[in-house]
Amino acid sequence: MPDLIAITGMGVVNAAGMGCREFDRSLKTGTSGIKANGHQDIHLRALIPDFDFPSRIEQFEMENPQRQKIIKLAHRASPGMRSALLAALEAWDMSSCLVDKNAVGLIVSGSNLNNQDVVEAYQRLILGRQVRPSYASQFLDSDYVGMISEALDIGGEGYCVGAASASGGAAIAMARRALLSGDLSAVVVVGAPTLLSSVEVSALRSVGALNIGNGEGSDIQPYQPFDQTASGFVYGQGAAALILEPLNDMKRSLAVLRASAMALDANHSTNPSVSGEVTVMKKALKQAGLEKEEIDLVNSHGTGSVLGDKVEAEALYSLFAKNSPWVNATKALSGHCLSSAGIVEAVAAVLQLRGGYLHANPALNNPVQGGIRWVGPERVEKDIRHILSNSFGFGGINTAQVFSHISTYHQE
Amino acid sequence: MSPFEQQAFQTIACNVVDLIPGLKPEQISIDGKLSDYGCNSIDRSDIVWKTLDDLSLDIPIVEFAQVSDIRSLTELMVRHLKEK
Repeated sequence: MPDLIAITGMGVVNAAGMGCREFDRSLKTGTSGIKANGHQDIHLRALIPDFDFPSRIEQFEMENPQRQKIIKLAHRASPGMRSALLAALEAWDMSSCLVDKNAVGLIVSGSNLNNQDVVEAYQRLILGRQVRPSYASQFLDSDYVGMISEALDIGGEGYCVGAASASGGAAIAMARRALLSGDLSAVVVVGAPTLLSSVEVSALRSVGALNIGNGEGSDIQPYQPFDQTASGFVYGQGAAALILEPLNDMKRSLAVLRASAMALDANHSTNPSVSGEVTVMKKALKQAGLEKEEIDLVNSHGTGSVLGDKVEAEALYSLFAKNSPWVNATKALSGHCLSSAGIVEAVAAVLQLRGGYLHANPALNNPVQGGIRWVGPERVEKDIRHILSNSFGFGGINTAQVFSHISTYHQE
Repeated sequence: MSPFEQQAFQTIACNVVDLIPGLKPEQISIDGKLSDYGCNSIDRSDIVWKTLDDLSLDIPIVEFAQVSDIRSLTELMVRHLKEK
């Protein structure tokens, strides 16, 4: 049975980067994908740009029949599905994984992914028109499992994991468990984008969670989690993917997944808790076999929610006290990608580990809490050994992962 | 082909082409089956649905359940166009 898990491939498709290379550049330069566009419901958001799927997959090695099959699949897919497929293909191509198809699993993070389609279908129905027949399978989140497994020819096992904004963390935890048990030899974890409809936008605004952007044009307040000006999350669309395998081939390994912990607050509501967040971070450290002083960076959940930021800052201060590691918040650049946030941020963590930098928080001028070593408007150049990455979700769901530099394995 | 036949067939052909990448409308033959062009059963329902929509016909899609060759599909569309 393996005891350590390697990340052997990564893919990402979001407003801050189409592919790992571009995302790495945005993280390094602190370039945000968030744009103000004057949309009536929500004028500050980070959307995946339109892209030409066949030309995007040209760079990936595969036999021509498979390429044609994938192009055909993507052609009839929704934009969200196309993004998830692209991220999965990038990760798979990077991994050079040669595991037998029946030993490969597929875990898609997120639930209620297609609400834009639901609303569109309902609008037709109330006008007395018929709903597109293929909606019969496309309304199911598991359509992502079907589509991606067909594209990559995955035969092991597959399902979706729903844990609100912690879905990515939960999916990584399930993948790790499947690999540690020996049931699977590789797992493709795909963060699917949450496509919010105007219905969810309305409710999320009403509970004060969503920041649609106040002001007009250049007067719009920049979005910065943990800054005193933050007033809710900015919606981001993002797909991302990881290939996880037991750590045995150092050459193909990008980083080590040392821990993936979960803890519940036993609370159905939207409010987070200091104790739940501290508990899950401690669990992750224990699983990783690390002391808290060994963490170089916390890739925070940091959404820009007033209460969420305050509670996470308190949890960090309570755990690390006077020895705060560096802390940054990727959502400042990518927006809050909801169901895929944990996977987008896992990719961000590994890029920072490998690049030896801590990405900037471009507008963090007045942090909500002192005593924490925030990365400010300038990135920090630093060799990193261990990153703790948090993902929390409505319903009291807390997750934390530890990603470690591949060199830490040699040293043991 | 009558103008109705022309209209129905061309609409079907365009909707097949929209769904299947790399096809051109002139490659679609009225003597073919949708499966000849790589359409599965869900694709077939989507093509019927879109064609009915494009032709402003309000016919339940289930009425087309047994039709899979393009000529029969065209004829059924024409019958409804005439009734309209």
